[in-house]
Formats: sequence, structure tokens, C-alpha cells
Amino acid sequence: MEATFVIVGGGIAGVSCAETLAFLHPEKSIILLSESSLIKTVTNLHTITKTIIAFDVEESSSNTLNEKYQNIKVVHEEMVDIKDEHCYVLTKNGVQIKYSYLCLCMGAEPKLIPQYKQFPDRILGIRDTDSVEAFLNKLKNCRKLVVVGNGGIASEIVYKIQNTDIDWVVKDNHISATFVDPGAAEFFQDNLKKNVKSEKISKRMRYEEGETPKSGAALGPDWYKNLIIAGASSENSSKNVSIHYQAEIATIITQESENPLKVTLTDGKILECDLIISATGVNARKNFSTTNSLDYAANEGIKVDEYMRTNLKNIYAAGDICSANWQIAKHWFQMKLWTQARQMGCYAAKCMSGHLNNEEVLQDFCFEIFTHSTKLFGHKVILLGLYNGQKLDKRYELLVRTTKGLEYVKFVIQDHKLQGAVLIGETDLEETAENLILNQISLEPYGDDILNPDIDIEDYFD
Amino acid sequence: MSKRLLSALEYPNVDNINLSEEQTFRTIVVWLETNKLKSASQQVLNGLKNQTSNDWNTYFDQYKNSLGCPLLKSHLEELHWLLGQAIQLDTAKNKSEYLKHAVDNIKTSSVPNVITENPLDKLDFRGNEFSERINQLANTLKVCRHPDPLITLRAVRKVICTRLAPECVENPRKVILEGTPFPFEDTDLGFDLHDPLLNQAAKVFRILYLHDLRDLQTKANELVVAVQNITANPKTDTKLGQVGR
Amino acid sequence: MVVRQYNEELKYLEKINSYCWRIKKGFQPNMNVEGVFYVNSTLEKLMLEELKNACRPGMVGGFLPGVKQIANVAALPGIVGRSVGLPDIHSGYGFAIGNMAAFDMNDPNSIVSPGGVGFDINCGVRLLRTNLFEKDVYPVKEQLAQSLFDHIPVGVGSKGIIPMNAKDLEEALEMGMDWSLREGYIWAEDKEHCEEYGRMLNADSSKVSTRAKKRGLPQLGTLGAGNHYAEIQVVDEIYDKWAACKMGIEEKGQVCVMIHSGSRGFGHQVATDALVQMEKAMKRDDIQTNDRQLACARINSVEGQDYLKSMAAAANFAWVNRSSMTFLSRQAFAKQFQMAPDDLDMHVIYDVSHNIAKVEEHIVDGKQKTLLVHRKGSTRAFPPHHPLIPVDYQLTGQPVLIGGTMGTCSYVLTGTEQGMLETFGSTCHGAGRALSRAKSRRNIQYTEVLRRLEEMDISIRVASPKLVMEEAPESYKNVTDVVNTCHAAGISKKAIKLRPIAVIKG
Repeated sequence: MEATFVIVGGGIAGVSCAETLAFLHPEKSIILLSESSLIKTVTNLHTITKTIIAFDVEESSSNTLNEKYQNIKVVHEEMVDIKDEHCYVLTKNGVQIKYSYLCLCMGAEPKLIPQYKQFPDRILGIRDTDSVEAFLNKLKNCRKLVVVGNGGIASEIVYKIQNTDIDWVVKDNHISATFVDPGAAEFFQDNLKKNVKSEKISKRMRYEEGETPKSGAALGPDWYKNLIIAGASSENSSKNVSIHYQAEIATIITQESENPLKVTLTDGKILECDLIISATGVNARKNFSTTNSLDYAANEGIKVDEYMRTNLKNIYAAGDICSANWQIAKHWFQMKLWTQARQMGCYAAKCMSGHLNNEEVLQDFCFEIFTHSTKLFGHKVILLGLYNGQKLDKRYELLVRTTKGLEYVKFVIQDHKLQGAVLIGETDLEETAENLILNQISLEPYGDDILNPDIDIEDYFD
Repeated sequence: MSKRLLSALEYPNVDNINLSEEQTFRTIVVWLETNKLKSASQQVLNGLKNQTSNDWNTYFDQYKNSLGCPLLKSHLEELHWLLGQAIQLDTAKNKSEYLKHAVDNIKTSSVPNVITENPLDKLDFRGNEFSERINQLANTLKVCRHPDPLITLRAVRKVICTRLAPECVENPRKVILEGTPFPFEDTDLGFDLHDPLLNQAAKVFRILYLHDLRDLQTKANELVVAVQNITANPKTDTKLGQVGR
Repeated sequence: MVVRQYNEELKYLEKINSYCWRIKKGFQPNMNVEGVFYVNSTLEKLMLEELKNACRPGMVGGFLPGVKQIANVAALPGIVGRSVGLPDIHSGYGFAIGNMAAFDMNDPNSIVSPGGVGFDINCGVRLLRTNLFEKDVYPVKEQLAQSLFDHIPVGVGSKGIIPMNAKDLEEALEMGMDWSLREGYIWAEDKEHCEEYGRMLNADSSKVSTRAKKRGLPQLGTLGAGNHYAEIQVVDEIYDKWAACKMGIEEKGQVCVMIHSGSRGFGHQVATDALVQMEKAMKRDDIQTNDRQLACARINSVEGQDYLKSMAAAANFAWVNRSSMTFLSRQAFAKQFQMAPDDLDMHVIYDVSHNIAKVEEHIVDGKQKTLLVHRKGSTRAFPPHHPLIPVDYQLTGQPVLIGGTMGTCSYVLTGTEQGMLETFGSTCHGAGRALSRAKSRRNIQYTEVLRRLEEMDISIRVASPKLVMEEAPESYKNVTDVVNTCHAAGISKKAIKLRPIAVIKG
């Protein structure tokens, strides 16, 4: 087989890359190599500000991609080797695919707590479509659950699970540390106790899966949307969530009891449970070989330059698998997020297209400022710039405005200039905050009034 | 481009010549002069024909001067200029032939062109009969009369050309503007001449001016559309529906 | 800012008539000309209350009240006539939003100020008409709105409904709507119904920073957030039958599409870049202003010229942006009604700019002068017979499109001779916001949140309402009040009222 563009990985980065290429080059051949017959497509995309884009991710049969774009061919194969000197890849089943440009978007795989090997039946990692399936099945018989991890997926599980008691073990001193500060965590706290009914009761839709072996791509941002995530306790019992701060799991042993696992935490606390969810982050995938070696960064991602190029000729990488290795803009940093996977996928496509046509490529502006839009505990959450004072070395101040259950606005300010913001709830401030960060206008004259609830600053800076 | 011009002039074996060769250049110059331009004096022509002579360039300079060739940097440019001259002569010679294929004439060329003289030239525009007939015509067409029948005739012509043209009679909606007429008499003129009659007249001029302006704007738009037909290439996600108009 | 008692301040203000107040010299230091503002009784109360609140002890700095900002602008070098505050005026960066001021091009000291244009350069409103009526649209309202959502807000650069590369952007910056025309996104007739025919000829993209271009590229054809929106509207009221008629509006219930957007991040970057340059120029040329935010440069200085050229490029960007959205709206309607946009009569009624500086000819003290007119949150409103307005509106005056805040009514006004004389042919631009529209936000029980934040060992401030407002701060400047004031003061004339039936917000 042969194609101008070969993209490996059917996750958000890969599909965004393929779709962008199909649009930019309707005349060129594109092969998307995906192990799963399910691929992610982005739907319901809406721009919130110039760089913030919210979207839903849908899993749909890869046929839909073929139908939408005639020049994309989806191949269900697992890539095992890249013959970078001769520009072709080899799959497990020995298929050779020649490329002019190759983009690696295989994403990452979940990191699991070390005890996983001891109790593979009772410790689950949640990362992709398949692990969700397994999780739902096991949860049906679960009365007491331990969740380890403090990122988005862990937070959502704790929020969404019904009818079961949860012990949430976080290594930080507040919840959802990946995304928010202790103050915002406090803002969310109330939402945890509620038993959340999913808005739409529906079994998850599955398209024709066939016999194709699958090992899925990462979960999308709304992976839980249509799921009923319920444990085995009776329908109307309230949900008990206990949070164990600054703790990790020390040991796990089995016991003869209703709850077969006995978990000891690093702070000495002992918990009993029948299931452990490990959602502690991911590592870039490395399940393939190359003729010449790829440059990896210390955090294990493949190094890419400002045009998403790896060190190997005509090989690009995007999404969780890569590690940004260019002069990073002040208000941006890399994070393994759906948003960035999509941005990188689209941008890699534009770079490949630009390089093919010998056109100038301007680095996409989305790498100038970190933006992430998500939903946590049922609230719209927008993270902008150095929203947790990242890179500022504690030399900054916070300006906060909050109304319980309604909004939480935090401005990170250094030298009277806005460096980052957390906007939770319907604040309408996203475009203003983004512009203030990018423009670096001095906020000195306004003092605390910049967030005075009686003042709308949205069009002051118009 | 020079080669295209040469082949248009039916220079032999154009495909296989190398214009940057001095010898070829001289050959072409002589060929052009002998067959197309035919302007050089016998002495210059003889000088040019002697292609291997060291004096060739002297004669060529004289030749250029006689033709009024501007100062050019290279033989290639000079050749191009000479070719341009030759093409012009050729076209002028066969003008009628080419005009048949001109865009304007393609549509009408099938209609026999019989008018050899203009019968109107024989009319007496000052005569009473002319004036009466024009007024009759004006009455029939409901056109206001003017003391000078020629001016009335102009108005009549305008009505006939716009309202009685074949495409207008066939499809009057195309030409006759519909919609609510604008009560221009009630509008503010923008200035006051302190005389109701003068103000009225000024308003009429305004309207006439606007009419011309609208015409001009419409023509500008038509021009833009004509250019758009060549340049437009809206790129968009085609699944979202049809592109353009 | 001079701090005086409220009663002292009032001595500098004089009510000329029921709709107009004068700001006398001395209200702020160094005023070269007087100020003026237009208000009705409701708006007058808000305006004075804002001043009163600012006069309280401890209220120095921060957001200046609109009157003070008008007066500070009156102190800028080269200003002629008066510094004009329109009824929807509210606090803004440098100039208040709703402030217009004109500077004599022949005075070598005259300045141009980015704060007088605003960050969202050429933010403006475009109105498209259709031959549909509410009854045609009502049953499919949801689908139509969805279809508009599908077409419009999609980030063009990233998702690419209208793909642009760096070269396209350069061309678009130089050509404005002519680029959209050339590429076939819009109709020839669209151009004649735009201010400046949709293209500022002095645009020079080489004066625009790469950062601005990078920032703008992904945004072309996107709507934006905040106060930008597109609306499907219906004609609710016709005040001036003949003016409406010229705009192709025949009856109540007719459906229109309003697009409110600007140059977005591109304009922000152009303005930001210029502010930095101008601070240097001010030091060099020793230009003094009352407010640091009024950074400016002489019109004829390199900085002044560079700004005007890059501002023109940003203006062109905004027109291309609105044109792209026009194209996408037509697509959405065509798809929904299975008819060509042509057959739906989807013509541009007009396109106005709110945030822009332009060179215009005006009569000042009986003499014709060439002026650089800054309009920020203010719309040009030229009278009938003005040579710069489209031929179709020569008899009615230029249409002025007034967007309400999202979801409220919008208006179409026309320009008047009186406006030409009093306000350099300028009128309001929409509803007033900023320091006025307070949402029901209250800070309660944030101590726990604060405690948790303190653990981080970072300095923390909490923004809370200043409990100085005696009355509930329900002081939003209603668009109807604003428009009625302009009409009553005679600086523009009401023609049509529009009511939204669906809002598309980025």
C-alpha cells in the first residue's frame, strides 16, 4: 500500500490530522492506520474564544470517515516498525505501507499503580474505550470503591459514580489538582456528595465492531456522558465520598470479607474495598521500532520541533505521544489533553501540507497560550495561560471572585499583568481574559475592581 | 512568447530554432524585413542580408533607427519589438478578416449587413413636417414635447431603446423597476434656493444625477461580476451546501 | 484626576437642552475644547450617578466615569469642535466607549490615539435582509439556528470552512472586501453598501507584526465570544416608511440577519503593538495627556502613520471577517430553505464600523477642514446627499445599524444634517454596558475557599462589590433609551426596529 500521508493512530490527534489533510488536499491519498475499528471524531465543535474550542468527541465506526472523505482510507492494522530510511511502515500482519509524510499519533497508555500485577481483576486502569467497558461491568457488583489519581478522569469518576461508597486517594492537598487550585476544589466539593443522574439514559452506542482486534485510543472529554456509572448499593442510598489528601497506596492485601481488598495508605490509614480504579496519568506509547532511533524527551515523548517534525525525515508526531521541543511561549505549556491532541493533530496536518507545497507555515497561535475547556463536576471550566501559576515560581498574586455554586473566577497576576485565569461557571469572561493575557496590558489602575462583580469588563477593552 | 509570435507570422520551422544564437537572430531579422516589414532602404537591406559581415550591426542600428525602435537591452528584446511591429502590420492588413471573429461581431455576423447609406441623412430636421411627425410620435409614446424637435427625438429614442427593445417587450419586468415609488418631492433637498420652482428643479436634477450614479454603480457591479467569473474560487466545506450564488 | 466634591463637579456641567449637556473647560485640566454629551432623563441619572460615585473618597483611579473620560479627550492636542459623548457612553480603555473626537489634519500637533479607536478595530454590525417572513422561519427556527451554528462559529483556521494560509491573509489585509469578492465569497452588490466600500486603501500589512498575523489567522470567519453575536431578527416596527423601503424592508415581520463582529485578536494585537510604540513617541515629542491610557502620537510621525496603516489592515480584516460570515449565513439559509441566497434576496442592507479612525471633510466654524475622526463605540451617520454614502441611500441618509445587547431589540437609524453639524456625523452604537450592567453576583461564603487558597502561600485578593451604590445597581443603559435620545436630539433618525428570534453566539 502507498499514500502521500500516512497517519498512525485513531485517536483525536490522528483523526483531526487526517480530516485536516483531507480538507487541505482532497486530491492526495491518506491512510489512517488504526488498531481499533472505532475512531474518534470531533463533533459539536464550537469556538469559545479565538483559541478556546470546545467540542464533543464521538466514537464512530471508521466507515464514517471513509464516507465523509473519499481520499481517506482507514486500515485496521497495528504498526510495529518504521523503515524510516525507505519511507515505509510495517504492520504486525506484515503489510507494507509507503508514505511521503508520516504522522505518529498513537497517544499514550495508562500508568498503573505497581500492585496492578498482583490483582489484575480488582485494579483497573481507565484510559480507553475498552477499559471503560470492563470498568462498568465490574462496578455493577461493587459496593466500596477506591479511586487513585487526581486528574480529570479520576475527578469525573468520583463525580459521576452512583450508588457506591468511594474513597478517593489523592497525592496532593486538594482534589482535581491537575486542573484546579485548592480554592476551586473547595468550590466543587459540594457537588461530590450528590448522586448524579445522567441527563440522558441510554446504553452506550456501539457500531459494528466485527472481529477486528482493538486496543483503543484515549477517551474523549465526554466519555461518561451517556453512561450510567452505578455501583451495587441500593438505588437511593446517598453516595459517600471520603477524600484522603496527600496519600498514596502503600500496600494491598486480600482478606476474607465482604470487601476482599485491604488497602493501606502511606499515611497509615486502612481502607477496605472491592475495586480500585487507578487513574494516575499516562506514558507515551513506544510499541514500535524504527531503523534510526527517534529522539525522545526526558518525559518520554517523542521530541518534535515547532513544525511537529521528529528528528527523522518526513516523520511528524502529534498528540500525547510527542513532546514539544521548541522555544515554548510564555503562556503555553504542554499537557496531555484532548484539546492539545486536537490542536496538534490539525497543526501537524497544516505543517505537512505546507512542507509538501513549499509554503510558509506560521506556527499556530494556539501554542501561544494554554487554553483548555472542560466540564468538571457539572460546571463549565475554562483554564487559560498559567492558570495555576505554572512557571511563575510563586512570584504572583491571585485575585479571586466566587459565588457558591455559581461561579469561581481566579486571575493569576504578576507585575500587574494577567498571566493566567481559571473561569468556572458561566462567567462570559473568556475572551477578555484571553486578550488580557496576550496583550499584557497593565491592570495596575484598576486594582481589585477588575473583578468587581458590579462591573462588566467584557467590553471595557473592546 | 517570441516563438509564438514567429509561428503566428508563419516563420518556418519555429520549434527547432534557438533565438539566443546570433546567426538565427540575423536570419530572422532579414526574413522579417523581406517578408513582413518591407521598410528598409535597399542599401540597409543589402547590409543586413550580408549576415556574416562585421558591419552587420552598423546596418542593424540604422535599420532600428529608421523603424523608431526604442533603446533595448538585448537582441531578444529587440527581436520581440520587431515581431510586435510585424504582427501589427499583419493584423492591420487582414483587419476585416479578424473582425469577423471579434467577440462583438460573432453574434451578429450571420445577419446580412445591408445598410450602405443612412437615409436619415437626407431628412430636413428643420422642416415643419419633421417637427410634426416627431410630435406625433411623442404623443403616441406619451413623451413630453420640447420646442426643439431634435431634443424630443432624443427623448423618444430613449423610450424606444429602453422600453421597446425586444428583450424588454418580451420580459418587461427585467427593465421596468418595480417597488414603491419614492416621494422625492417631500424629501429634504439639503439646501434651499428660496424659490419653490427652483427647488423643484433642483430636486429633479438630483434625481437625474442619482439615476446616472445608479447606472454607473450597476455597471461597476457588472464589471466586478465579470471579473469574479474568472477569479472566484471559494473554498469551503462542500458538505455544508452550495457555494456562491 | 482632579478630585472635587460632587457639587463642585456639577458646576462644570451645564444642561443645554432636554437631551444635551455641556462639559465646560476646567472640568479636567488642559481642556482645549469643551465636551458635550447626549442623554435623556433616565440616562442623565445614570451618568451623574456614575460621577457621584467616583467622587466619593477613596475612589481615585480605576475605572474613570464617562464624563471625566470625555473631558480628558478634550485635552488632547489638535482636537477641534467638541469631544462628543453619545448616549450609550461607558467607561473604556483610554477613550470611553461612545466617545468621538476629531483632530485637525493640518495642525502639526494633532494626534492619533489607539485608545480612541479601541482594541477590537472595526468592530461593527452588518445587516442582511431576506424576503422571508416570521411565519416562514418560525417553524424551522431551531434548525436554522443550528445550521447557522454549524456554519459560523467554527474556528476557520483550525477547522477550516474557509481555509486561509499566510499568503491569503496578507492579501486579505491589503484588499479587505475586495479579497472576499475576488475569491467569490460575496456578491458585487455587497461592496457598495459598506462604509469605505469595505476596503481601507491605506492598509499596509508590512506595518503589522507577525504576532498579530499569527493571532489573526485562525480567527478569520469566526464570530468571537463576549459581546459578539449573530442574530436572526424580524422587523418589529417601521418608523420611516421611505427609508425602510430604500433598504428593501417593506413590512413588519420581515426576517433579517444581523452580524456583530470585528477584527478580534488581530485588532487587539495591532492596538497593543501601537500602544507600546506610542509611549516612546510621547516621550520623544513631549506630548502630555491627562491619562496614561490616552497614549498617542502625532498623526504625521512615523508611529502615527504606522498605526493608521496597520489599523487600516485590521479594518480590512474585520470586513473580510464579516464577509465570510455573510457567506456562511447565506449558505445556512440556502441549505435550510433549499433556495439560492439570490432568490432569498439576501442582500446586505448596510455594514457599519464602530471602532475606527478615518480622514473626513467637515465644516468647522464655517470652514471646510480635513479631520481625523476617531469613533469609538460610535457609528458614522452621514446625512442625505453626502457624497460618501451609497447611491441607494442618497435620499434617506446613511443607514445606521444599532445592535442591542444580545437578545434585546436592535434598531436601524438614518443620518441627519443636524448630526453632521453637531457630532461630525456620528451617533450611538448600541446598548451601554461595562460599568453599568451588573449581573446578580454576590459574594457569599467564600471564606472556606480563601482558606484553602492561603495554604498555597500566595498573596490573595478577593474582589467584592464596593458597597457604595445607594440604589440597586440596575443601571444598564437600555438600547431603546439610547436610540430615543439620538432621535430626540436629532443626531440621527429612527427608521426600523428589529426583534431577535434566535441568537448565535460564539
